[in-house]
Amino acid sequence: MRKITAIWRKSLAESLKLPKDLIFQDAVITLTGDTEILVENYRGILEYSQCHILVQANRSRIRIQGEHLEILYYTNDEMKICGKFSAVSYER
Amino acid sequence: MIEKIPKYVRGYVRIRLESPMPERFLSLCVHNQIPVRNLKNNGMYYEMEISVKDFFRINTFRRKTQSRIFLLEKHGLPFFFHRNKKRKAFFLGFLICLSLLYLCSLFIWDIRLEGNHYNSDDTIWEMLETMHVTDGVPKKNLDCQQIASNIREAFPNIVWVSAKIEGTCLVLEMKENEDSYIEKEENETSLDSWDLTAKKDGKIVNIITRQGMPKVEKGQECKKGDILVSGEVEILNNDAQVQRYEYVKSDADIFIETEYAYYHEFSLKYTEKEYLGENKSYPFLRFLNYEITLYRNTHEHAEIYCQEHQLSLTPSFKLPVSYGSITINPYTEISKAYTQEEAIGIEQNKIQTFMENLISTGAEITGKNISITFDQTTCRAMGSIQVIESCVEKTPVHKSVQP
Repeated sequence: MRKITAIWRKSLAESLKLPKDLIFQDAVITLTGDTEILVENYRGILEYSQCHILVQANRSRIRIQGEHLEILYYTNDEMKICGKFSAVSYER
Repeated sequence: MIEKIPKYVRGYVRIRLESPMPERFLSLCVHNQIPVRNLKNNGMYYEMEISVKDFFRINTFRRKTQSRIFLLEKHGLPFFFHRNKKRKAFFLGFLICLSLLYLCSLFIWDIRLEGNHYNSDDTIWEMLETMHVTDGVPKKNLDCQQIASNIREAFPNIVWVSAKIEGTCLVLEMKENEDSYIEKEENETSLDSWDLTAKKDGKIVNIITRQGMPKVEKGQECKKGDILVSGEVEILNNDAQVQRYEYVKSDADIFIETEYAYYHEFSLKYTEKEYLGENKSYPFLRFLNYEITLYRNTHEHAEIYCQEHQLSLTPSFKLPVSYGSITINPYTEISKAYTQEEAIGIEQNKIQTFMENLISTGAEITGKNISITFDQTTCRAMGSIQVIESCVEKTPVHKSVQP
């Protein structure tokens, strides 16, 4: 059933030319160099330390690794992280 | 920078969070619309900034997550006022400053003109002065539509005017009619028919008529106002009698040999400035019409330059205060006289400029007869310049009674 819904959503997004992040509620990650990351469409922070941040998204978890990580702002809609990043990975 | 202003106005605090479940505390904050800024993990504890209003809302989350919160720093306008509540003079000065700014914002302190090329700024400002639109006029007395329509009436070559108030500036944007000569030509062509008449006395050098009846021949003398080509054409019948007159727009290439009288004189004596090299600058401060300056001019002759800058809070919020400097460059006057060679050189340049102006109008110079004479104080040039030019004008036809 979930698979059918996903297919239906995908075809709807393609036919109406809607952004996929709106339909699937996927997280949007915008990287600026290796010093700034803007994360949108997330649920919350699961772990936060100076060298890694684990963010819970709708369908996956996003692990951001680096040094001196600092959250510039953290609101219900988006979060901006700065520091020196080394990796961004997804965990299912 | 701009986003920091509301944060500062509302006031914010920096807190330290010591919690066994900090992520839950943060989630609770965010899901309850409490934005967190500059969140930093320092190993054992977290530091973050939240607004003063939100600080009083996080007590419930603190209890739920068994956290401890320490207030580290207080920032913003509410804390500033609280800290300085005893400094009454400071707040009084602040209030007076705000009131003065508000008072200044009720008047016009700068009139800006844009888009005028043919009409100088001074001409337009003079016209505005007659309407009592000057610096210092209250904004509520200004009727922008009336100003725009008055400018259009006073300057017929201005075809569009927009008057608007931006801050303490009155901005007048205008568009001038750049092709008015076409309009003049159109007026001429509105005539049904015309004659071509001589604008000056002279001798016809060449005439090629395309339309109309030629009244003169090549080599004939003509006077100013003589009809050279008539727009009245006689239509003859078989008996060579005039049957009727028809009227046409005369068209011909007519070249007339004519002459221009030339006269110019100037004094051989002149004064030359010898600068003393004692430049001095004095600063000044002007508020409305009152000026504070150290400027003193003790020299009999001096060139005085003034540089003025108007103070402004923003490009459109000008203030009635200006500052600048007055520079004095003193000099002495020395009387000198041109030698005959120098005077001839100056006069020849004048004649050359005069002839170049004639050539630029399409005339061909065939000769000149100018003599330069001197008396004790004056150099005088007089004579004439012979030219061939097309000096004709269109005049309405004097219509005869039809036979």
